[in-house]
Amino acid sequence: MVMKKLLRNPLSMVGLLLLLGFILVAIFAPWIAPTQEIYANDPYRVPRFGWGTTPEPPSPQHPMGLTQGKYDIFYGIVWGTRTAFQVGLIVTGLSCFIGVVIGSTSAYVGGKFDEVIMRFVDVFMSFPFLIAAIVITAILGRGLDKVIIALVIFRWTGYARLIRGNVLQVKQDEYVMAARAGGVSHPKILLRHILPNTIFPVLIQASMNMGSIVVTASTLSFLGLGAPEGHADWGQMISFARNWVLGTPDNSLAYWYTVVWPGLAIVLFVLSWNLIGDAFRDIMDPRIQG
Amino acid sequence: MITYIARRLLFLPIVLIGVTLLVFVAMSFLSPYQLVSAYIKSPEELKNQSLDDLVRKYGLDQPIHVRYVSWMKNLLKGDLGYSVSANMPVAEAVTKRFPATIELALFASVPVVLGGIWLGTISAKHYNRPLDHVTRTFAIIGWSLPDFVFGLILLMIFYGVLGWFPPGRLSMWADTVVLTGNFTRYTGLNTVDSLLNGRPDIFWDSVRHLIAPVITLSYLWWAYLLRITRSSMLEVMNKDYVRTARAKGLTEKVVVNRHVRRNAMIPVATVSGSMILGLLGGVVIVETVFDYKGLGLLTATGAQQLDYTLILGTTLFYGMLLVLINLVVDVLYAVIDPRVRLE
Amino acid sequence: MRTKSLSLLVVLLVLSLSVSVFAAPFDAETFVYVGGAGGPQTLDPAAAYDTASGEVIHQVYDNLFEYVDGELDNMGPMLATEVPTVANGLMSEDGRTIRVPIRQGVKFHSGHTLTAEDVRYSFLRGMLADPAGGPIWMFFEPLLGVQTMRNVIEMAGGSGDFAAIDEVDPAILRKAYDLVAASIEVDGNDIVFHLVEPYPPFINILAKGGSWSAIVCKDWMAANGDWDGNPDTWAKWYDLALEDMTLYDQANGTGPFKLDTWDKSGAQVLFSRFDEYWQGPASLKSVVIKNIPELATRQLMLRVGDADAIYVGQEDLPQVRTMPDVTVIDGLPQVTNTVLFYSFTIPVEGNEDLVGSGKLDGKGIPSDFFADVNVRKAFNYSFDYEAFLTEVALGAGVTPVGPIPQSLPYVNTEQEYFKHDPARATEYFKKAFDGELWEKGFEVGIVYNTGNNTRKTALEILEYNVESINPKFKVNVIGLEWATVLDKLRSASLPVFVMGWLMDFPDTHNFAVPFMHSTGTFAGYCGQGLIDLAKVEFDALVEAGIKATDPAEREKIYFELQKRYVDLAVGMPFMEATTHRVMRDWVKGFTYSPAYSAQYDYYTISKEEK
Repeated sequence: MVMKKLLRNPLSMVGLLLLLGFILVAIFAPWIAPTQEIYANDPYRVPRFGWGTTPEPPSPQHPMGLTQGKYDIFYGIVWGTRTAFQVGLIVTGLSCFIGVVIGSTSAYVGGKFDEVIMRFVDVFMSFPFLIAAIVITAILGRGLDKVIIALVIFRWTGYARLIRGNVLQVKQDEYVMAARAGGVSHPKILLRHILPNTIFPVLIQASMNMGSIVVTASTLSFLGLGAPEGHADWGQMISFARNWVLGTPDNSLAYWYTVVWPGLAIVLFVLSWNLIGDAFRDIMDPRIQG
Repeated sequence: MITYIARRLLFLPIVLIGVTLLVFVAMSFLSPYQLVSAYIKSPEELKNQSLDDLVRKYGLDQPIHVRYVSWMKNLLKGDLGYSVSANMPVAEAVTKRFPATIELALFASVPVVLGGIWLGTISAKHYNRPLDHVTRTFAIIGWSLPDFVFGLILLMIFYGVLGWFPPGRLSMWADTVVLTGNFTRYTGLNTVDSLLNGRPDIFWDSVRHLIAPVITLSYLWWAYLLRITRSSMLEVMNKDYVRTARAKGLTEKVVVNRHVRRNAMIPVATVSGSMILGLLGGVVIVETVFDYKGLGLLTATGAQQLDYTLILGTTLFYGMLLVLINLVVDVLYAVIDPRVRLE
Repeated sequence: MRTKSLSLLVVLLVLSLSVSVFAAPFDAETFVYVGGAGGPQTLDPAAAYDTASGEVIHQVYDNLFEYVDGELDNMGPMLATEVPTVANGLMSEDGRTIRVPIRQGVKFHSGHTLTAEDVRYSFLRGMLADPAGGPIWMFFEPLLGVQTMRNVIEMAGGSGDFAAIDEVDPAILRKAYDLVAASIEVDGNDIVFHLVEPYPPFINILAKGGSWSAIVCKDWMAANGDWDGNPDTWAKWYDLALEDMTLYDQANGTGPFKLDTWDKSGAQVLFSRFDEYWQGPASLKSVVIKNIPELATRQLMLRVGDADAIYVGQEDLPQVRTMPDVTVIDGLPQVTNTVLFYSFTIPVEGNEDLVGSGKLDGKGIPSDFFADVNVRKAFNYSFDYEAFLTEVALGAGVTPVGPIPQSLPYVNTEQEYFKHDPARATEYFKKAFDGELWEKGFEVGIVYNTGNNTRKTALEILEYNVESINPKFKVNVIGLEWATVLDKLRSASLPVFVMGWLMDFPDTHNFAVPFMHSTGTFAGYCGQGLIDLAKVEFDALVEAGIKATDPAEREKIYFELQKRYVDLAVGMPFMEATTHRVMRDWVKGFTYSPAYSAQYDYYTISKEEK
């Protein structure tokens, strides 16, 4: 039913197709952009074609050109798709899971327990994310895995708050009361009765966040955190463009390819998740029948 | 309500202690020789120094709990410590730099909110029609473009080509007046202070420096507000009283402006609090690109140099701000929406 | 709604247009320099040891001597009236007593007149304050033969290992003061230095470009709460935190510019012309040094003309070369060397990221991997010096012939040096560990500090070339935060690391010590293995080199040191970089000296609209 509605809406169709495209690119990366032999042990390492810094425009050998440091943009984009999915799925999955478990339990149990947990959440929310990420990188070292850890540590609180609000509303509903009176165990009530009725807003939120994590990664790269230099990561590919956005004095667009290709990948990726998220939201909300 | 506010305020110190503990626990993973990097900031500065002497001089080898206790003691005396990376006491750094950031955030919040609501209204009015798709895509592009890309493009056009909106907070001449001339700093907000000092020229100058970063921030946040406005408008549009209004034959314009938008604003108002916080915490890159000397940039640089007194001071400050803003939002929510009760 | 916002936009545009009237016109008397990330740490000459601090100190203070036309081999007087030599009788035959006549009538910014007592005070205060991590070792070494004030307290019979100086017996403090004070005397208008041993570059240490030897005003210092010269109270100002020192953010020198303010929250330093400067007032009326980390922003400021000069890194130079109305002066010689170091004794435990298994089994390297000279030589022959110089450094420099830069005297430019030679690299790899290495292979992590892409690329060139010699060789280029690099250096845990050394003063000795002596800066980061080797091979020669006053003798010693360094392949010096400046073409009178840590000497600069 949901699928059918999804397919009927042209915009969500676009979203689905885009996502499908990205999935295909991610799966077939080794065929689309084969790894050179010397880098065989680490296919995520973007090959360099020269040791200089100045970008080079697209050519038959390098269809999207070379960005700062002579990294091949096409290779970076293709393999970066995998990175985007990895980081997005792991971060969203983990932080969503932690947030839902803590948030729903807190709301269901209520009282002092809830109060303590929410103040705990406050502590984590008090950290400006970027500063926390910088400190974590300093402690753990640089790398995508560290970015994931930092993102999870500071993202779960959002989900926890969201689901807590929803559970608080549903908690007093008749069917929950009935289940409780019928002697159903607490975990079962939470799992069977409450969560199915409260989780959708969280999932929608999660799907929207999937995309924006790539943007956050680019911010981290800009600050010199994030993936190690040369790792196939869209965020890093676009942060290579920072010195070249201005072009040359007589041609502002001289280095357009350093921005456009990675920028396009990020925009389309974020767009696809947002369109799907929006579509789900519209479908799930019975009050809107456009 | 009063007891609710009092109770929440009572929790403030506990949250703040939690925040500082977390920072100290994190910092305890660092070795003394990592912390020395606050004094030897780059390989180029590594000369004949003895790292051990520096560690001893600044007490970097003291156990973490000892440092926490002494830091707390100083804090209770009102001393936040000295920041090596900012070259000034932490309290001074925060009071000098924060007004810049809050000025930027305040100026940005106007176009962010107005623009976001406007776009959201268009989108909802034309639900699932081309204009809806166009506005949403436009906003999502802003949201998914890293801010430095858009910021640098704006800087190039409005500064490099047109020469209208230069980077920095003030032009050189204005800076000289503010720093050395007969100019009293009341708030640290250049726009406000210049008016209070009767200097309209400096007021214009500071506005001129604000425009480009404000546009960058606005474009970034429009998608966020657009989505909330759109969905809550859609929700309200299907409510009975709106249907009635329509059935009465009121024009669509009147229906939307009078009935729908007003009621759809409640969720928008509630996210505004978190949005201001997001603006405050997320200005690091805009501050970098536009050389806008605010707290975000300072803290990011400090954190990169592992300047732990600065990290502590600013997280403490941000934590306090967050708790207070959240409280204000909750109270406002209860005021706007009579259905909500504060327990 | 739409019309409303449209009109808003129009208002906005009109407003901005009217506002642009405020754009500053060309100002021939104001100079704006925009540097990169990181401003000064302190403005105190006794504590400053970074280039950004030196930049400020350079404009505000004068020194006793200066390099005529910036040339390193042409010393002239500045606040002194004559350069001491044996020939003019101001330097004793043995080079250990140096008399310096002080210029009369020179005014400080505060209005005080310079005296010989001020000069003595400047050096005494520096030595007695001796802030940790500072440059004052340069006075202790020639004057007292030690490195720090702690050493002097040991000389006075106390223990140098105190936590706070008030733990030390006042009598010993007094004795320590006497030792320091005896090394510099005032005699009428002259000042007399007594050196423990001859020290040929001593005059260089006192010359312009050395921020540590800037001359301060004794009376002004005492009036501002600093030490007043009392032999018994100096300890109060010993090793203070940077921000507690008197000259941390204020200055009173005799230089061409006065410090107006160090606007720390605005990351800028403002100067104005000192009209009573003893050499005549400067052409510029005010100077601003700003720090803006973002290159694109700096570039735009230069393009628009809001900045007269900006900092641009070597790798970004191609971007500004094509800018109209901008001058790029490049190929400016520097006395510097960038070297790839090997750690001879690498700790294995907790260091698995870099040394793998810690054994010679193809999955790691043993602790003494680089203690084998064949391995070091093989690495040195693997590096493509030519590719680095032309492609990465874009030709801005030369390939070294040893640890001492060729712009200094006593360097044997004929010395046979390493070049990219896979055949010889293979030969040495086969010899290493009696052939076992070639059989089993290895895996090693080599480290650069994140953000330094030039060094990263250098390591990648090495990686590429070493791996192409034998498929069993694995080199991983790893980026670590600078803080972590520093921590790992301390324990000699980095198998390979890259560091540069920019000279303090132009003498061979200033390179011989850090690169070769067992107590030098880098030896400690290269493990006990190197320290042991250095003690046998280098120490005696390095110590003899500085004491020798006869140039022919010094040449012989330093030639020998260079030969040993290369024969043993202790490290891999691979770059002597030149530097460059980027400015608007209306900037006139730019002068340069490799001795200056400052980017610009604003005294000589003027602006002229085309």
